[in-house]
Amino acid sequence: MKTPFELLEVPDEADDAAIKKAYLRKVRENPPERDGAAFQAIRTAYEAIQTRPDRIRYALFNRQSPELSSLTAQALQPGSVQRPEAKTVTTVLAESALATLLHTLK
Amino acid sequence: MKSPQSPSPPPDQHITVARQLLDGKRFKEAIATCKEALKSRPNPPLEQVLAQAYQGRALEVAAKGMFPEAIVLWENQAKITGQALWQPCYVNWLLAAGQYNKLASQADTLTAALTPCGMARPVLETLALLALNDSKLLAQLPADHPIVKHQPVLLKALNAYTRREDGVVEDCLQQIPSRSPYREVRTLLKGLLTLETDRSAGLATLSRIATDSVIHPLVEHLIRQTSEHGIDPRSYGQLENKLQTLLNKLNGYGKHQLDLIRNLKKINPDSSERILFEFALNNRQALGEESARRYCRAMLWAYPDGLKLYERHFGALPTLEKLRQKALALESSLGLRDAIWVWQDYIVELRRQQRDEDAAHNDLVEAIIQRYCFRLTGSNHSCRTLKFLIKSLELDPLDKDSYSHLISGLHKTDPKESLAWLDKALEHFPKDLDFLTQAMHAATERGAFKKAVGYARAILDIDSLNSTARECMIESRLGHARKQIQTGRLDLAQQEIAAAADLDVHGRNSSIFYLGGIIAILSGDAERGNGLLQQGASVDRSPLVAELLFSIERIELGLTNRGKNKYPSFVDKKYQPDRADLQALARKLAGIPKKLWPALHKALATLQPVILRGTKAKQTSEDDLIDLCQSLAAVEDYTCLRRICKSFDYRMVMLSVTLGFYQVLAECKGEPSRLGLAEATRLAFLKMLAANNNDVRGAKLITQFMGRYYSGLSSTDEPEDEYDESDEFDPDQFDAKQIRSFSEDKRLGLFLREMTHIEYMSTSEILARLTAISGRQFPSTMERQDIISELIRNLMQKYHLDAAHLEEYIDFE
Repeated sequence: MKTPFELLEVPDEADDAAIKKAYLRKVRENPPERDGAAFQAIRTAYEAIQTRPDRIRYALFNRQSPELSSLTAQALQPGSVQRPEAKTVTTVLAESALATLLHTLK
Repeated sequence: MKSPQSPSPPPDQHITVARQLLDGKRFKEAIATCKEALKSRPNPPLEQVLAQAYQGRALEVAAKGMFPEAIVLWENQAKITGQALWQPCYVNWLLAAGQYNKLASQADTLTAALTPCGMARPVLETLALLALNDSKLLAQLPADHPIVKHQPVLLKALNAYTRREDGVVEDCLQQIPSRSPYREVRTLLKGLLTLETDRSAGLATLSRIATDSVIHPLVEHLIRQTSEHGIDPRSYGQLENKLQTLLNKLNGYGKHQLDLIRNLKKINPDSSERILFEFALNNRQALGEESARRYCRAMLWAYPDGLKLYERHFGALPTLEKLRQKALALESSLGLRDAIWVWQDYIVELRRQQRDEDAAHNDLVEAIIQRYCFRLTGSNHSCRTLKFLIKSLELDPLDKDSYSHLISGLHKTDPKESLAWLDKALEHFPKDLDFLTQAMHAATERGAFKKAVGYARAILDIDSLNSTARECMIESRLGHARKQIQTGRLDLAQQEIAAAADLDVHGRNSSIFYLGGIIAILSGDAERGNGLLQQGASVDRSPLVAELLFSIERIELGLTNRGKNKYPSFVDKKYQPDRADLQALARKLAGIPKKLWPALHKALATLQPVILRGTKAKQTSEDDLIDLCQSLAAVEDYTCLRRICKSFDYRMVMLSVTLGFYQVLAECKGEPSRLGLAEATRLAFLKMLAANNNDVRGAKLITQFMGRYYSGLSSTDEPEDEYDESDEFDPDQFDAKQIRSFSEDKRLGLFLREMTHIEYMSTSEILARLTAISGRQFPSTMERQDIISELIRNLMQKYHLDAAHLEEYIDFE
């Protein structure tokens, strides 16, 4: 799970004004009527770091366990494509097609 | 099962037997019977039965995964019937048995046969893909078949793709027409080429592959696992190894990432914090040193044992951070008291490291930590915990919650200090409705009517419809009017009454009429006075309530019926209150302000005989009595409560936990410290009765009262232990010698506490406890109530209490 700072895309040392500006920009990008869950996440993040006392509280007492998936996602971002062997492609294609067809015929 | 044997039955009989076997789904025997009969002479009807038996048997063996056998049986039935061989089930079995060549050799026939059911295209597409790795299959196809024509072109394109000869790939793909069985693979290859230069465009190309293509599920995996976020570890682990290899290539993963993926497979949703911590630590090269460090640091509170490992790999943690992690770890293991001490150490360390420019920031940090420590105590309002808030407000005075806790926390123990904090709160939050309302009530309570009116005005400026402020303004005016009447300034009193009447737009406040009436009578206008008093009584609706409120006014003003001024009475000596009277009285009592309670108690003492007539009336219900008792307890008139409780019908009280509770409450005048042995024991039994009867209200009342009783005991006998949230009770914590040395109160307290635990125990647990205490064995068939009765007797002995008080309750139970 992203930190509120990451979610609002502001640095850890951002002030009230910068955070509010980032929040409004994010809300414009994710209006509640389009994606309620995303809006709620943005709202929660904003409330967690809205003011200086909020940010101190977050820095001191936040006990949200980081999610492994967000950690690995960065490490597993794709790099340059390495072209596979033709045999690998044809085998995967044939096996996949056969499995799909057998499933359909059942 | 044996097949029926018959040397040479007539042909019709063969058919009958075979049909019976067929109906019984005994296909194998039916086939044998038919074959045997057909050996001697041809019999077309019997052949049809044989075909049906082949068909049934084929389906039967296919269901068991015996596809080659199913294929032969199916072909046999097709030979007999002459019907179409190429049914979807037959194709399915051929594919499952790996007999692709048979499919290829009949490609045209099967295309014609499967077109009506829409299966021709997927079968041909699959054959085309199988042909990429199978030259024998290709050889079985007609020379002019599209698969034969396009397979070499596509293979050439794929090999060229591997060798990065993109021009050749393009040329080859152009040679594959849009009606070719390879058309979707053409799109796939185009998408893979685009993926290298523009990942999202490549994925968009892949998404154009037809949803009814046999490679569509594969393409879905490709799209999901090669997006800009890389693979999705959760679904990736479930894919075939070869597909994983393909994805790894397309995502350009190196050794570290492949190691990471391999290690990731060992992680599951139930993995412990230690495993997750060590995973991040061991894969920090792939994860990135900084990301792994941040992850491990954020995990330290959940896995404090990882600190050494963390410091070995990422360097020492700053002292402050170590303390923070320690405190959070203690909180998570519910060591809240220790966590508070560590947070206090944090503050000390913060101040020790403080530079001049940090002072203001550190003040705020400390204030926030002090408030947090208060919350860790469960927002318990004791002197020690409130000190956290006092310290926090010294450093940061802008926190409403802290003021609210201080005001309410000190209200009972130190009202003056509570008011001082209320004043401070209003200094910083002059327009806060909660603080203004509290200040208004406090001013009214201490008779500072002008101040109260000021606060009420401030509230009405913010919230013009605030009924509490309006009521308070009226009460303040009336309070002031009472003062003026007492000093004989009737004209000024009349002005206050008029002002109060203006505020009481709906004319619901009877005191305005009573005080107006009194002023008129004192001014010599008895007729007008009596008229106003009657108006007041009509506002109150109940003569009993009217008499009570008018009596309170007279008592407050020190007016008697002696002398020249005579005041009317709304109830005569023989007045019989009805249920509505009692209900109105109970409602009214709850709203009488505390400063009027002395006058109220006097008025109730006079009215007691009338009220008793009402409580004894047949139509009065248990709920009416409970409401009245509740109101009398709320205004702390235990004398009246005791008299009323004594008048209750014995049977009613024995059956009602709540009425029984109020009897006990009246006896000890609402004070747990006055609880005698008999009352305490009775309460314990009432609580058990409440549990048995599912009487939630009665149980709650008793629990609250007994809670005050226990806290009273601990405050005198035990050291203060404010942070201990657990309510662990060890019934064997004291030996017999220690118990003997305790006071009767303490012994009684321990007895009651053990009694309270019994009601949450199962019958077998109670029996085990009884055995442990008595040292004797009891039959397991004993009734629960008998076991409890026996246990109570033993507990009375254990705590050296007089059992005489208990007998009637034990019998009753």
